[in-house]
Amino acid sequence: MPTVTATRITTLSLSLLLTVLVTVGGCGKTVERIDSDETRDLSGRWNDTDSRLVAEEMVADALARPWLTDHRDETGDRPTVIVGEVRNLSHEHLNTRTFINDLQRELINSGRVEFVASAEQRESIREERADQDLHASPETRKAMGEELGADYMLLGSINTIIDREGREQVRFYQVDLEMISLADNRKVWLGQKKIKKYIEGAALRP
Amino acid sequence: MRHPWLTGRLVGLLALALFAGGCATHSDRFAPVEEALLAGHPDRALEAVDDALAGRRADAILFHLERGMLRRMTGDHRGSNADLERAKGLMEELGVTSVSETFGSLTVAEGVSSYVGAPHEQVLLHLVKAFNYLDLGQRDAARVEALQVDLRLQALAAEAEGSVYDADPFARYLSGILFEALGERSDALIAYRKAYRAYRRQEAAIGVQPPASLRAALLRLTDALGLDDEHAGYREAFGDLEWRTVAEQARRAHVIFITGEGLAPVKVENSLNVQDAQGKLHRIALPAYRSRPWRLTAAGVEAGGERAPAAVVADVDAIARTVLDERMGAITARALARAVAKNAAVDEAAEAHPLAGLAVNVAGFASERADLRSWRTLPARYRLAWLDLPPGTHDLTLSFGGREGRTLEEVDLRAGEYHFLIDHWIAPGTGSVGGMHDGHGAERPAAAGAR
Repeated sequence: MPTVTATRITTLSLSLLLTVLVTVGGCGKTVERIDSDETRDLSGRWNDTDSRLVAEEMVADALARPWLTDHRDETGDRPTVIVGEVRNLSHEHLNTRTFINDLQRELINSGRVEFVASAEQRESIREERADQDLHASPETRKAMGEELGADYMLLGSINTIIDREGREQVRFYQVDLEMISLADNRKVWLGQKKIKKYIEGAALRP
Repeated sequence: MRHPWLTGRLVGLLALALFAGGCATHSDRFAPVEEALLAGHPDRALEAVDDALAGRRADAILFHLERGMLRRMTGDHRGSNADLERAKGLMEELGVTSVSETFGSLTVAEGVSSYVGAPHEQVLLHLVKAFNYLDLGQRDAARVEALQVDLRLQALAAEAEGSVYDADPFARYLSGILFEALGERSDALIAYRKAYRAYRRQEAAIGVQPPASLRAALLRLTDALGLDDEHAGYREAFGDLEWRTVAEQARRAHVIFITGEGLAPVKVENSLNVQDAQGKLHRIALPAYRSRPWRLTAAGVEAGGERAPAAVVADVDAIARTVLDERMGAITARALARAVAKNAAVDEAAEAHPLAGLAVNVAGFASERADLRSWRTLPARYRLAWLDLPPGTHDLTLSFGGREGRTLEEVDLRAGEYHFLIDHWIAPGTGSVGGMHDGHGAERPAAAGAR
């Protein structure tokens, strides 16, 4: 009697397994377009929303601090800023380039600071100017040695602390930015933004 | 006179022969990959791995692990990292217990489950990625892998309670070197300490001792950070080991030569086949590791009359065997559970029709195969040499076993700079296929017998 019960359970279970396998195998991929401002957290890792929100908040903080007015009072001009390296010291291979672009966009669009091209961009611009020296008409040619030098460099880092226990984890992100005067290495602004996320993983999959 | 028992047996054996012919094992599928690799053609091996593993859902992680390693060997470091990152993502996704796969592994065969990688393979994935980033000159990205491997090792320590492999000393040691190269001495010392303790703890079972360069690093950093008691303890333990202070070290350039050696062991099947008095076939198939024979007697790096021997820092072969041995109890229990389930299914089918019972028995017998999957392109061992040189231009000669080698000509080394050279010597005749094809200056073969 127990043997019969066992065999029925086995048959039933094998049927169930086949059903599950067929069901899982039949799942297709769907694509849906969503607004670029819409927040959708999938993995819990650093994403485009984090990058954008942190850049907005930190730039707003930077523009509200006295270094900006101090510079205007001293020189009568808007300060010129260059974004240097933002080091990724986190646990993730996150794209610091998009974060730097978000920072630049916010700073430029504020209209309160001038912005100059990065070292990499300057090289290609200089190549273009050298090319213009040979090939462009004198009226349209742009001269060498007329570049705008930056007053400040924005440097930073993204750090993480991850606390994990089984399926649960808390991811803590800390973004630190510093505005440093290129004339005398003074740190004129320090900004910090923290993000904390709680993630609970699945216990089972089909 | 009818002999249904005999007839059933005959039909069963015939069906078994037919069925078994169509059931290629993982080893069979992987043979062309290994053949191409041993011939010194990782590019062809890469093509062969597509034929062997592509499209097999349960082998998706293994497919990306093998591709990742082979693409590294071809010098495609970015492509290698893309594959390894994909494998990492799938490990997270598929590491969660699957209801259907667990059921399948208890009733059909071990190999129906998605392969998620042995614990040491999950750790080494991060190291191979870090090697790629170092070759690409992206040290912060290599540092990300060091942080991720720390998380993996924390999880391993929690999951592997009672296991010999509850930490990976080489992963810790490499993390320490990365932190030190980035100027993070405190983090480096923490990693070195963990490496040293893990080496000592696993020494008896795995057979790898803490390398001299690690012991020197512990003396150097405990001295620099003013940890006098700890420093005195290490001095007493390490005897007259030569080491340089951080200040002396800063005046020299550091060449870190890491090489894989041979190939990781392969799994083979040990099976027990029996036929009971009713003519039913039963089979228990279990995996066991078989080592590949290629080993180096020595390796090292030499420049300007100075030489550093490459000590064994990780014995992947020994770790793989140890991990499998520890898991054999659970694997055997699942094999027995399958035997019981399959026997019950045969009895039920036979009640409906004797031929149905025979068919189910043959199918169950033929499907009972050991899971022979493992990351086969990993090396059997890793060696590491640390050579401090005066700043300047050097010809760096890497030697493998005293007969084979290569020289990187006119490498500019600056004081305080860390120069990583990462290679993989596979077998005599095959030589090294470490993917060091760019970014390391011109190469020429080393003189025969160069050491």
